[in-house]
Amino acid sequence: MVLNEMKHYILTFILLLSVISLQAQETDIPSDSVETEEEEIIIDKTIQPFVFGMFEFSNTPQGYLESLSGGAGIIFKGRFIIGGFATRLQAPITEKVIFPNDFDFSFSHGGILLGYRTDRRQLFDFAFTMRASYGEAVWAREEIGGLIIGDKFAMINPAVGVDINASKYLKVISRLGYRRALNLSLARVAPNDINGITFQVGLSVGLFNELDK
Amino acid sequence: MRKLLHILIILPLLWSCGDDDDFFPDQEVWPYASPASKGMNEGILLDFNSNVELQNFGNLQGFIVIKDDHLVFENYYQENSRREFFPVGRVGASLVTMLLGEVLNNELGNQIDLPIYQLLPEYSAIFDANPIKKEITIRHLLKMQTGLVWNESLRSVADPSSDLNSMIRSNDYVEFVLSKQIEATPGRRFAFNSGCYFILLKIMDQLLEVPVQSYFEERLFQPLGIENYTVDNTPQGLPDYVLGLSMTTLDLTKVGYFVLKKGDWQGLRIIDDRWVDQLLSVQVEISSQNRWGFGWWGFGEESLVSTNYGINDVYYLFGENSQGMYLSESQNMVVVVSNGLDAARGFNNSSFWAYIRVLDSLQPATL
Repeated sequence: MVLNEMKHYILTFILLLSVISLQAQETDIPSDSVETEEEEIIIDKTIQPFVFGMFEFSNTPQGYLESLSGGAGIIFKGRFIIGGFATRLQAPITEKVIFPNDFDFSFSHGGILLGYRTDRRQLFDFAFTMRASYGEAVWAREEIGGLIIGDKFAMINPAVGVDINASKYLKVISRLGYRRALNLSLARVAPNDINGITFQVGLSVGLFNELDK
Repeated sequence: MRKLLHILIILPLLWSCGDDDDFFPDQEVWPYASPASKGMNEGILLDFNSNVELQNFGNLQGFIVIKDDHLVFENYYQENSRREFFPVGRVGASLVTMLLGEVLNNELGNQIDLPIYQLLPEYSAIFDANPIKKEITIRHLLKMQTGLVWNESLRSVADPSSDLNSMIRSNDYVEFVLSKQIEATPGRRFAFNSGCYFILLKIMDQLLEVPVQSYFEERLFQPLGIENYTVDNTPQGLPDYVLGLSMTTLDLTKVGYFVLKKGDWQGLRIIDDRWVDQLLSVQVEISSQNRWGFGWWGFGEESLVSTNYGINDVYYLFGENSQGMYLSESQNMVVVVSNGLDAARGFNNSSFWAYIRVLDSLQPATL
């Protein structure tokens, strides 16, 4: 059921991207045929690989804490983003979930990153991304680690943001989004402990388009 | 280019939609609660926990307390974990007696006083050789009053001179037990004899149309959500639930809780509560310290539990390695102790003293 719901979100997003892609192709074709040919060649052949690392501030059983996120992908046709990512909670959370031990909470997930961004070739670009992931939340017995309880979950995280095109090889990226975990059932972790607004900020290194001068 | 894009899309999709069966889920059979919230003194329990870590409670390796339908204590020692299978020893015999009631009801119309020789034709020569043995009934097996010579209470399993040790080395457990000499008229004298459970298993095997293991699986393990366990086989190929069962401490606790709830599991009636009442009611007054039901021990009126704590409804089981299971309806509490095999230490009473520490932690208001 969770996977179906997740697939539904992903497919909806892919459909949305397809519509945007068609629209973009239409608007990318100007009336001047010579310029159109050059423009199309540039757009269709460009693959911009990139890697990124981000700090993510998101909801946890102990409020907003930071996670570390990293991944890689490509931008194709100058606008469409596809890649993969992984995120892991960094801040320590310890609770006596089951007496008499203290338990450390860990939370990690990974999946696909899809997105659309403007290709203004100016200092700023705007982006809309959707992350769909699968992961696990775990309470592990502190020190010994033996008594581990946890649950698997799916997660979606749509976000909007701004990219600062620092150079041809470097972007500063920021995203504001909403995260929703699907079917997470774990002691001392209510769904609303994980669901909520997310804010991500980080750097992306890649072979990006030249900025217009 | 398009192929690359397709691969890039499909691979993460497949990965993200995958599942990992190795992951151990939080079963949360019972909601978790702190001992203090159930009226228990956490200081005493922490002190107990420290002592177990120091191995002052023998070879205790797993310990769970269910109080008022909440899991209030769960810990594992000596680098063990919730996943670990522990040999449950004689505690496993409770499974046999539990399901026996249903088999007797369905197949024999509850004839608990039926002589067993009628059900064991392949051992007729033994009965014919000593007709007094023909008086042994199913009830006598359950009450451990077969009248057969048996020294299990006096000698550890590891002792080669113990009857249990000899039985385990024999090729036919049932034949070995039935071949023992008669020392008293059946029904007169109590002598704890694990061999009785093997006879009961054999009878169940004779009466059931399906293999015993399938029956246990369908009627007990599956309803209780016990998916992982191991069980040895007797030389006759029967599953040895009496001495050869290993399971997690959490799953063993389910069995205890199930008995405490009189055969009801999360609203599902699995065992007739009247049969569970029979199992737990006093069948033999052994001494002022101990009582015996059908496969369950009880503390007598002059026992430490009765005199010091005023609790008169504790039923318990213990194994050769001091595994233990303690139930009390008035306290709505189940305590389960897992111990590893450690023949070098010999028999010890660590599970009992661990249970006593739990009773110590119960504040007067809850007693």
